[in-house]
Amino acid sequence: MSLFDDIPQISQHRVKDRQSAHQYLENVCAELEGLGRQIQAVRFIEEEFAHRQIDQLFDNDTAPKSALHAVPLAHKELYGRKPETGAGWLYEGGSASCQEDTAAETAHVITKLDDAGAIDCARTVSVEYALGVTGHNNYAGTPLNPWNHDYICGGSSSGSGAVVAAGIVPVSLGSDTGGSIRLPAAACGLVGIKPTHGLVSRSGVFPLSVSLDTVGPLSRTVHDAALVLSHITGFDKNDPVSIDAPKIDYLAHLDGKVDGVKLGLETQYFLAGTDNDIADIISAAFEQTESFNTRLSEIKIADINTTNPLNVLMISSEACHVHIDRIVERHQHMNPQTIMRVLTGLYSSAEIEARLSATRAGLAAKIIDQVFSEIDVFVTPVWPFALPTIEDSDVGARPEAASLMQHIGHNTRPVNFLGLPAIVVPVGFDKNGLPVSMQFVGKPYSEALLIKLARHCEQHFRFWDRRPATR
Amino acid sequence: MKKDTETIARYHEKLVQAGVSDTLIDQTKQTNLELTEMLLKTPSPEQQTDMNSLYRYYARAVSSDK
Repeated sequence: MSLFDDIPQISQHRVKDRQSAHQYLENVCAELEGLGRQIQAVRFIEEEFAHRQIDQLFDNDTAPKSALHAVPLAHKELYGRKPETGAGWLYEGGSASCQEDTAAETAHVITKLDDAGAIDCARTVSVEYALGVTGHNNYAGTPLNPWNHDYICGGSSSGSGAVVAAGIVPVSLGSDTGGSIRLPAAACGLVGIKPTHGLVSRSGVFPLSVSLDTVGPLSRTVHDAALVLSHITGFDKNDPVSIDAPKIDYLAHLDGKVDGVKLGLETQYFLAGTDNDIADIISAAFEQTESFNTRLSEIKIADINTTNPLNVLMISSEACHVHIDRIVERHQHMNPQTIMRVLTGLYSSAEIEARLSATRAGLAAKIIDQVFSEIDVFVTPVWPFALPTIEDSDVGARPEAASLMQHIGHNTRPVNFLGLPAIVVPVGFDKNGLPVSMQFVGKPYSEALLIKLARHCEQHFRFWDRRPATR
Repeated sequence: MKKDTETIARYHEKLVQAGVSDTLIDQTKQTNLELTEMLLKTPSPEQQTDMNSLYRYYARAVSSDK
């Protein structure tokens, strides 16, 4: 097996027939068991199930269903699976408080990937309840960044970031409520897509915040993220925020031009809230995007600073609805940080929650109207400072680090609050040799444009010409 | 859960009885107060809408663009 294969390479060269598909899956599972566990990114492997999936694929239909045909993938442990026979897969939400819980249903998007012929072979580590941005998890494990094992992967889709950056699988689905796809994608040098509000169903995904949760891919290439996104979008009546938006084949837009696209580097909140060493890298990368024939300007977004704390309040208020009984019953099994983040929402009354929802929609309407009448896409850093080490960012052991760690979501939370789509793409390395990434944020349902921009960046910055050491 | 005053007080009591530390509860109450204050300082929206209606509107705009 060759680590770092992308989906076209796997599809064309590794899984051409039943025998090679089984062989390739065996190799992927061996890497998950070896390297994946070494970097503390793997929760569990379902190799037998995955071999049965391959047999069903080749028994039923010899013609490939899609470019994902027989390609093994591993997703964040929040994604439920209930096979037709036997018990559901472990569904613990990264928490000892849910130990041995199993999924009652298969997540809607997992069914969509099954329909496309993808093979589902494992689950990756999540931060407890997906409620944390550093990636620390004393129960499920704290994934090590493949670029340097002393550093965090970011969270909460930390295991997904780690297994993709280590080259074991090409894509992994994560979830993003305040930055949990984009932060680990950026920390690990990956492409990460946080889709528009309502574009991708969250049914069957371990919930945190019904209004803010989104799900999407982390991958090494823009192509692979676009391919998976194309398969997982679509209306779902079982998701209360699902929107019946037009179905788009994002691959068809992948290599499109971006001539004349107006990009705005937001300076007042995003850049100003980012340490100079990172802000300088992002500013320089932004200037280089002019070579794509884009039109660049600096912009300021009024009221954007309000959205960050309000996102925190909304997450905790809604998480409380989901998890309060479990906290009462099983708080001894939980990380005190998680308990605090959930309980913060207990004291929000129904009136406050209603006002918060109305304020969110009002701010979104106003900001979207103002910003996108001037530009097409705004650009920001992802991490507001250089990636910290696992030791330095361990809030459990170093409570004094808490406020700095709270700042990690500075550049990502506003995007969730406004419901906008965003893509992150690596553009270079920091002083410690860890990835630095740029975030493109577009108007609602502009994923096709964001994917084109990310593709231009991929070809221009050639980030993956370097690779992390794998052993 | 219903987020009325009685329910919130009942859950508060359950947490105390379950042994969740007073310090932790006080800290979360304080954080909630600070965040709520920020919400209340934010002017009420001029237009009354909700996120799903708003985004259905944007989705229709994308459809008519196609």
